[in-house]
Amino acid sequence: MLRNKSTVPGSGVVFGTALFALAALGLPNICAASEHAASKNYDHAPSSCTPTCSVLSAVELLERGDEYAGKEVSFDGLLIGACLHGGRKGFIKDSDGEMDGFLRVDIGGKAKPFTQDNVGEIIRVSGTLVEKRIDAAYLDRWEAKAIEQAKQHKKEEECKHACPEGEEEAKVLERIKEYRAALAASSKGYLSSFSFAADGWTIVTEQVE
Amino acid sequence: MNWRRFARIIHRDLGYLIVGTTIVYAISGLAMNHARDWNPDYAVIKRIERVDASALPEKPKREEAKAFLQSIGIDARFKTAYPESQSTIKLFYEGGSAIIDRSSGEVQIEELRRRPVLHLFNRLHRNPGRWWTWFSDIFCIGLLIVSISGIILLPGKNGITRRGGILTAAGILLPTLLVIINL
Repeated sequence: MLRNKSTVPGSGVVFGTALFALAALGLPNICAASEHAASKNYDHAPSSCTPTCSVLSAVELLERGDEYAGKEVSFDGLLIGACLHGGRKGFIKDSDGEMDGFLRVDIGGKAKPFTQDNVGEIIRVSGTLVEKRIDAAYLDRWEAKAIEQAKQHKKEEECKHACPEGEEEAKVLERIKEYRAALAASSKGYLSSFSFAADGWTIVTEQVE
Repeated sequence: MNWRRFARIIHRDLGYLIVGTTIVYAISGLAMNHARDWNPDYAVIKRIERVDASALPEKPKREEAKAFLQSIGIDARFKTAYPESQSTIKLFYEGGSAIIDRSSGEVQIEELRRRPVLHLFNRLHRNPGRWWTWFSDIFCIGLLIVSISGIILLPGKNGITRRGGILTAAGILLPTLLVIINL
């Protein structure tokens, strides 16, 4: 089993932000919407790191996300899900259940995609940690879009049958509120949302056990 | 040989050649179009069992997890275990997973069975590699030739200048209308 220990204060916020955009949209939507966006080509060969060399855990990677953002690294994590459509997106947790959310891994063009058979394996992924910065302007745009969608949804529902405004949009607005609070508490002036652009991966379940 | 006869031969022979791949794309297209409603690649079999799971630790060791799975009749290769919540543990094994509620003893088992032919068709539709890119490019060119030759091969009242023309226009207008309305 991987043994990861979260020691950085406020790491929950980091994990929360990693989950942020994903949870708002729902896992199936992410798979469908960004299938093509993930097909960017990467020139690097998959990591040749052996089981004995230094590899980060998923928890360590996210805890030190500011340090590793934009850099090429390898990490180990538990694949808890893979997109049904093409398998170019996977979702990683730590096997100790210490991560609040999950880390999304986007598979580059030359690397093999995930299959449902790979779910439940501990995998070693190599590639680049991608940081998305969530600031007040981003949240304003997101909120405006959610309100617009709520209006649109309400209009559509009224045509069919009298139905209260969309629950999904209400959840998104609630989440935006939470992120505003987290942003206010942040000393950086932004929240970091991390995903991982993978150029290679391999199953290491037996090696790390 | 006149050009209409040439179009007929091309249309017929190329049509025979591409029928297999057309079926692959059509069936997988139908299957994947409804991916929100079902899993086109795997049949998902769910069942719930009740056992005494109180002895199972919060973070079971590999041997403990394996023994637990065997106790509920699962002999497949054990992969990993991770705590889903304070009271539940998820055990992954080859072909499925089991979520165990240690307090209630409820075990939710979910197993995946690969759909043999459809899985292969879907894999081809999603493009498994460069070799298929080349093949499907040739297939698409063939499909274009079959379409164009089909338009011009028939003379007379069923040809493109009359009935055929109306049907062709309807086939173009209908998706165009749907795009205008919905996008």
